[in-house]
Amino acid sequence: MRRLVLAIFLILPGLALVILGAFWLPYQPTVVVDSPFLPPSLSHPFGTDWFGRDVFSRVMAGGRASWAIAALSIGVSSLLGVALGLGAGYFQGFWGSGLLRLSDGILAFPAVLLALVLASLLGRGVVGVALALILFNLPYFLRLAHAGTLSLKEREFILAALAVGAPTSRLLFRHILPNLASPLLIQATFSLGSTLLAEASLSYLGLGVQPPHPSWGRMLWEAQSWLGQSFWPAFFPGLVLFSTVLGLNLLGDFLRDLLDPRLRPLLSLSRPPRGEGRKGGRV
Amino acid sequence: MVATVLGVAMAASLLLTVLPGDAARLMVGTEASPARYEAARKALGLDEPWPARFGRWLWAAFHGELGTSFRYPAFSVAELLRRGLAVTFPIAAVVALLAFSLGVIAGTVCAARPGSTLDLLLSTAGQTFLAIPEFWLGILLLGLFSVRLGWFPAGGFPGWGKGQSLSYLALPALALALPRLAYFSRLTRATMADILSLDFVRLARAKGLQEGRVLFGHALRNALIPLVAGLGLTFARLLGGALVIEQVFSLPGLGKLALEAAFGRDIPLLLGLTALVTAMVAAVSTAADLLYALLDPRIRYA
Repeated sequence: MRRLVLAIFLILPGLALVILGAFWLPYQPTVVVDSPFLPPSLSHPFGTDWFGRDVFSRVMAGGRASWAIAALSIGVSSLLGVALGLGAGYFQGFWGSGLLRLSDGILAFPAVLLALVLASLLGRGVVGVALALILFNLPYFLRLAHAGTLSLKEREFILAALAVGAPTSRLLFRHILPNLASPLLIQATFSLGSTLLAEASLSYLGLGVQPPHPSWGRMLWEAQSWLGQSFWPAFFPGLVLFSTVLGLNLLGDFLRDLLDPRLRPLLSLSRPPRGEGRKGGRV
Repeated sequence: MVATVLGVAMAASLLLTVLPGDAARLMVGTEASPARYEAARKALGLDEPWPARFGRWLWAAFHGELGTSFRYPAFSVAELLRRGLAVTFPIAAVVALLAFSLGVIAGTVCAARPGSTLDLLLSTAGQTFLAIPEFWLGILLLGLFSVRLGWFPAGGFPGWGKGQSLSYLALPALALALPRLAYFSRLTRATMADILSLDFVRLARAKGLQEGRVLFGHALRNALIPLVAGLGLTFARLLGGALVIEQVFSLPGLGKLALEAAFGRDIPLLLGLTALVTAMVAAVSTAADLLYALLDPRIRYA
């Protein structure tokens, strides 16, 4: 319970700032509003940057893209991954094992390199980054849904449903899918954290949202060259990102312990190596 | 293993050919005359069809010849890769070994006394370093140790054999090692917690072995397989070049090379990089597989 409170305490302020930022900002994030390199004060809670822009407003506005891209890619990849994983697990066969092989291949490819390749295909903008993150997250949901379906479909209640003549779609969506809900929710929580991190790393490298529009990763890249003058512009965007990711990891741990302690082998760490721990998963 | 490397190189080559964007155009600029553009295409070998190009690349690659970079015409790709590797490999090796050994010790100590103050302290630190954005950690280290305290240089790398070389690599290695240390410590703690409840551990304790021998001699040996799997994966990922950290500290490693090659559509360089990284990853995972048999006599390879 203490973990839940801590998680909420870590996630909520940052998320609230981002949501509030969609409707109201204290200053224009792309406009010079004061002298540069002001330390944190009441009128500028996070100080001002090298141009004299308000860092607080920029953090509020910059988080919008990060959260939107992360939430969108988790949404798309979980829907797609679950659908494909259910199918691959239930019908198996050539296409099922082919899909799994393909997702293993994606897992083996470093995420940043994948994003770079897509960036040179689709330009450096948001679309390439979102697509890369969808591809990067897809295998996790696919494998989870696949492993769960494989073990669930041998259980008696599925046999019973089959015996009373339930059609395949009913079996999949009314009997198997609800039983996968909690591991999927837990995976989604961890994935959201790691996707926020990945998005920030990519925008640090110059992919995704383009200047002058702020994004957390981009702000850190720019602030780095001014470290000698002021530490604050490089500190706050990272702090908000860090506390959000930490909170999401804690929330995932909490959900895992709450919903099903037996899930440990299936979800041993947020990003486990594909070693021993993951294979023998049972839902 | 050879098939993997070959397959990835082929896929990468095909992908790079299909993707829009034109290295010849980048080289001569948009203002150049059609004749100069054609000459550039010819010089880069871009006027040939893909199978011919890939076949020629493969033939040369078997002879250790990876072509010349589009962007750095003065250097062969092999030379560029060698220079990148001279930075990336030592960092990867040191970081993987440091994080693995310290992480395993920390995780074992935590698993031995679950719920103790030390366990709580180390687990909290672990959670923190697993969630911390790597590049933010790098920037914070830069801000503290080079800007404020002046103990280390603020990035860049002068090359080996200049006396101070190591001090340029200390901060990036630290920024890479801390999150991985946390990862190994968490992995060890989770694996050891399962093993410590098994009967053979109770037997070892019952026959009066010292707790240290029980933990490090008996239990840890049986926990090593997932840990070595983790080590192999971590080392392989690090060898691919830590793109973000190399960018933070402006180190001329493989990651920075990959970034420049991808943004500049430097096809020979990207191809050589992909082949090298895939070969290294395949070698590392084969080595890890062989290590399993050494660690666990029950595993045998025909």
